[in-house]
Amino acid sequence: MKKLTLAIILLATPLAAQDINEARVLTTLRACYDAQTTLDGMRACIGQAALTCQDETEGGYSTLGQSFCQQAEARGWDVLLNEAYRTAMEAAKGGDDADSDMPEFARRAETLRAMQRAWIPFRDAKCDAEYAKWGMGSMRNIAGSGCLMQTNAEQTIQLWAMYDAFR
Amino acid sequence: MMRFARVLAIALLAAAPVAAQEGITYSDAASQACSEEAISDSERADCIGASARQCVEDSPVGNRRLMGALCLINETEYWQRRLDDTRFELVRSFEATDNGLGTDGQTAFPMGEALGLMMQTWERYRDQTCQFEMVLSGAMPGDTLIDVNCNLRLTGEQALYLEAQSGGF
Repeated sequence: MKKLTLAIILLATPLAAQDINEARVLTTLRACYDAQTTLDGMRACIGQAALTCQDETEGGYSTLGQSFCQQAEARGWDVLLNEAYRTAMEAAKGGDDADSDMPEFARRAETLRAMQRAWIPFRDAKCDAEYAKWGMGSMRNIAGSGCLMQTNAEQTIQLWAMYDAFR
Repeated sequence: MMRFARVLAIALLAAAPVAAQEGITYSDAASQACSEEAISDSERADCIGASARQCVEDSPVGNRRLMGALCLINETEYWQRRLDDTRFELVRSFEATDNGLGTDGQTAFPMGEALGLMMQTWERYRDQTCQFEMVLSGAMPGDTLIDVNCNLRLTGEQALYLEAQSGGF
């Protein structure tokens, strides 16, 4: 009876965000991402690190576990997104410098910055809507974190696609 | 700037020889049939542009860039209608829930409001993305083909995204 009570208590112990090994999630994501040579290959990485995180975390397949692992992967994509943006911005500035005698064309950096600034509120509003559609249901956490993960990843890949067009 | 480019495209089309305009043969059928038959998200995404391609093929030889732009604008309007219809249905389906918020201790925020904000921010993002793509392509000022093509792609993607979301309710 004592054993059963303990098991029930353990099952009921809520998973906390700090139980997720975030550095490991980023390492897993980066290993997949860096190995890719195509944009489709990068797309195939979306969600993989979160799944590994769920496998490796006790309670990882609970609603909270899934949500925390997706949030960790979303932050991982955010790191990769910032790297992709910096790379694209450097290329954009290089292109603008080369066109400095034609100011009407030397607007790559300016328009890239404007696009990325417009994307952030769009992402937030989009994921708020995905969260809101579940009302008070617990699925809202998975929907919201899954949206952030997916949208950060898609924008990262989009930036690489645009960067390819610079070269 | 984006709006200016579109207005300019429409102005150029209006100024085009009558024969060029009358020669456009556009129908939503190709994109509609394609998306009805598609069995995956990627297949559905591939349907964006189907009607415009068909339009270019069916239209007689003339000013190809002008015809291409007109075909793209026509298909964009088709996806915009799908997007508007889905949004309208979603807002309507959430009306009762949204009106009940706050009356029974719920703290969730209204879906109608969330959708409105998403669409508003999406429109800004679409315009800025297409502006960037125009600059990136080195398009001459007033050359709207890149702009209308980008606008079609993003409008189609947003329509399909919202339709997929509405299936989850």
